[in-house]
Amino acid sequence: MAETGLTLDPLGNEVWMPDETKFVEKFVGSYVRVLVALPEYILLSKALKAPVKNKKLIRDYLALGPSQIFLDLANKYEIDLEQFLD
Amino acid sequence: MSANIEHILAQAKLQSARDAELKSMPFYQNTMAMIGHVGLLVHNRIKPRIVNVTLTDIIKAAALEPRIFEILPALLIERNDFVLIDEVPDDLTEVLDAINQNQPIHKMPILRGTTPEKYIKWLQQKKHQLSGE
Repeated sequence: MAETGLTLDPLGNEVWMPDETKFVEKFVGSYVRVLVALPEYILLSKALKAPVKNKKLIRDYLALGPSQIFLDLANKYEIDLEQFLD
Repeated sequence: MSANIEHILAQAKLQSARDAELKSMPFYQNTMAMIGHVGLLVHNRIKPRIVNVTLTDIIKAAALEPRIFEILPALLIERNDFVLIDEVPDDLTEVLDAINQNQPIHKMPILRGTTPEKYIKWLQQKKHQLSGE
């Protein structure tokens, strides 16, 4: 990575994702396998771990019509969705 | 879906539409364009351009885009060519004073939900000081 001017996020190991997270495989190489989490799981992580910072992001997601998976997980992890309203 | 969830989603829709309208207004468009021009944040739809913006309008825009609070001290201290200082709120004055007095990060005030760690990293001057320690 250093040779190509890239760095690994030093706080990457601190990211919390729910156990239920589903990933899509994007790349498989000799040394690296890239998996991308589906959006509702990322949004759930943001809603639970950093609700103030992500208030408008989550509210906009709610406005667009959240998936049932997100609503079910929000219920399971006891996220108060009202906190994302002004 | 419960009645409460339906109410929350309906409110979210209303508030999201209200914010979208506010973001189309000059105070927000000009703020994002200027911040893009000075190289602190890049908006995916608002092109960077040279425009003078009052501090009051910048703070109004920050209420819609909280990342602006992260770059605000750096904007005011190091890249203020296009900022018209009209009125400085007390909490922002406290932050600027703490930076100018070179206070340790753990003693610096939180700026409207933005921690010192978040806003200090944008200051080139501070970065140099920290790396020289």
